Amino acid sequence: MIYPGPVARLIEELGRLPGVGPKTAQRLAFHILATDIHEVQRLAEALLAAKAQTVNCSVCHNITDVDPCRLCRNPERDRQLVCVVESPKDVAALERSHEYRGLYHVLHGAWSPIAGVGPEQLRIKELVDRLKAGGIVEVILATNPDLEGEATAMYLSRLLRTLGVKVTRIAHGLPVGGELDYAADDTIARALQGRREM
Amino acid sequence: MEKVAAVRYYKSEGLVLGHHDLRDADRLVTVLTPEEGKVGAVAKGARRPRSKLAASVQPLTQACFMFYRGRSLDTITQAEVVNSFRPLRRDLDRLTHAAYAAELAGEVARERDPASELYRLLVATWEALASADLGDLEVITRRFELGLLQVAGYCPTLDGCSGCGKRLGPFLFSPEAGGLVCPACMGVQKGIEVDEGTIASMKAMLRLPPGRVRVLKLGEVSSRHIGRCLEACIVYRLERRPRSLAALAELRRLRGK
Repeated sequence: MIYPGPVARLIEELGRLPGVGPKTAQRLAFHILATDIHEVQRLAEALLAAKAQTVNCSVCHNITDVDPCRLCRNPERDRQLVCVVESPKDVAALERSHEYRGLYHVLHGAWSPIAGVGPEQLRIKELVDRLKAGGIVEVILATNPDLEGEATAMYLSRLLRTLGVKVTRIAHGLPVGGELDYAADDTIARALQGRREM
Repeated sequence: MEKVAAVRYYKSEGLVLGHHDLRDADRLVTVLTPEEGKVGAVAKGARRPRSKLAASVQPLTQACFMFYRGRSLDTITQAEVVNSFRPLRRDLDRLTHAAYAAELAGEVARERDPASELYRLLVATWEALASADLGDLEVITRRFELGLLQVAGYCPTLDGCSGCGKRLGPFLFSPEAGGLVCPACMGVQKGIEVDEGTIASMKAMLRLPPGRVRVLKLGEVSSRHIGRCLEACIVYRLERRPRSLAALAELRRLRGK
């Protein structure tokens, strides 16, 4: 054993985190050892509190510390609009844009035939139940514009077609600050299709 | 030193079979190349919207890659799309059939083992799936399954009994026995029932390239029997059920609604 037991355990646990290799785990562990005990305590408490006090909203399935979440409770949100996203991080991204005032539905993943992720592993049944309950006029499919996200959007549009709600897909096109030369032909084709008069 | 660096870079055309997220913005991409077989490579920053690699490392894309050979994983340093098979991404049925073909190719291909025949088969299959009528997707996929088994060296025996060599039917189909088996050789074991028409259709499929296999108009019974035989062969050889079969079944369920 190179390191004392508690340090080795800390390195091992940190190394389980995504994107943290053995060297990074070692570096983080030594940073923690060199840090003031009160700061370490705050970190430990934050870790435990985030895990213990966070649940998925029973309505939209976004992460929240109150159920239903603050977005679902907010009377100022447009309750006729539901934006379907893959993950809670996407809700945060859309909220940062300050463009959207409706509600959300978080799928917690995307349909991926290759990875074996099927509709039963996503919160699709819950979405259908929400729509059947009534009151929602439009569903905006805001899954990622990659293969899995497109597959999910196509699947949902096929599934929701029969429920009598308007189903729309967020626009595709060139990213702000991007270069035309490096854009995929599909991106350029969609950007041309979605062009508008100036 | 320069010589060593030059050897570590190599250029190859490739088909993107799948990807996984890696770290904050990277992707771990599985690419099928003719010369190097299956290659696992990191595309750095490929999840950022302005990434120059993002389009090339999307699954179901054919691109020209520059790789840097690493100790365990390679790194994609440059890439240019050759064919994005756009229709595959715009229709759920085409996409799911193409994803199934990609999954099977990824299972059969081995790392650092040339796979030019498999590469050509997959390109032809994706091209056919992208341009065919929706009603022809099943027959193209069956042709791919047969071709894949052939490339892997497991093409089922279709000329006679794989036990005694008898050339006249009736036959049963057994993945364990390697194709057709006469009832006497089959004994008490169970086989899949196949008629003359099904056997003839499978032979005809092997003679036609994926792009032309749609000229075969299979009857519903033949199509179902061929599907059952080939699926059994694939499951037997892979020793597991391909994941994308569940997605194909879900689409059939949705169509039946």
